[in-house]
Amino acid sequence: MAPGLSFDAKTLQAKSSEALSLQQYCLAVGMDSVEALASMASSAGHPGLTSALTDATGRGNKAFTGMIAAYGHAYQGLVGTAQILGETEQSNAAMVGGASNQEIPFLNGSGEAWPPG
Amino acid sequence: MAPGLTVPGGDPAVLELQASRLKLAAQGAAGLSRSTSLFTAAAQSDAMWTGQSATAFDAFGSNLANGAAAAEAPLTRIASAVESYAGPLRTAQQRVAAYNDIAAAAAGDRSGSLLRAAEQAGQNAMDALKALQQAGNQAGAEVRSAAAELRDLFGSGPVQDFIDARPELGADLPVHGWNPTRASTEGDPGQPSPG
Repeated sequence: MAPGLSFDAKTLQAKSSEALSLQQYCLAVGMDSVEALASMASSAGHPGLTSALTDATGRGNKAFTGMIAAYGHAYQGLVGTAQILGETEQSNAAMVGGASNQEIPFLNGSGEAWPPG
Repeated sequence: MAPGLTVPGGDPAVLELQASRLKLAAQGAAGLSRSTSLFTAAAQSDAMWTGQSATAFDAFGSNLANGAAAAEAPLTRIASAVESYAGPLRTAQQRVAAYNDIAAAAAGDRSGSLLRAAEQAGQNAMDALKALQQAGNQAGAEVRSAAAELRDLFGSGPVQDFIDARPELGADLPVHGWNPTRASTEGDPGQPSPG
């Protein structure tokens, strides 16, 4: 950890790969869920149950779509933050008596403030 | 031609198999939630990360973990409802098939000795069909109720804000041929092979 900075960029960078693993985990759970729901919908036989399962398939699809993207967002946020911090570390090292211990905004991969809003 | 009943459609074996799969997926959602909670806490503590940005990350990660946890119950309820329907479906299919067989045999039996058995089999089949209809209605209502919970997994929080800010995530993706990697607009790790 660089002196005066509020977090460790290298560790944060390493942690970002765990976010990616969680996204893969979420992807697997989502695919299993949606495929099971879709398969049940096509095998129910009862019109009301088929309709309900088709609706559940769509809702599950949307829920996991958002969740998967959110894990990707967390990943990008960590990568972006670690990258900005790394650049700041280098900048601080080059400064004589420069400002340190500043709050680094948590950014996404596009350099936008994170989270939005 | 012998009178016959239409065997109800549906595949109870597939329903039971997929219900088991869905229950495992529901447990996976719970595991995902626990892993996300641990990850969120560790990312901050291991990196000695503090300040507003760390707080924002904690809120996002916690909301994400809660949302994953919230998926477990409705998915399990749906699986249980479908399981409860598979039994009556199998029974109805078997009893209708049995009735059709004995009715066909009775139609060709000039002695009339099979008539009583055919009547009994017919009554059993009708009872099973009635029970099946009721089971289907109940399962359908339970699935609809549980599915409604899937609409609001994250409540009001940063994850829902993130999703709301991206209309493409609300698009109704096709179920068959669903490509989950299309959904991941950020940090797309690529498409793993399904299964």
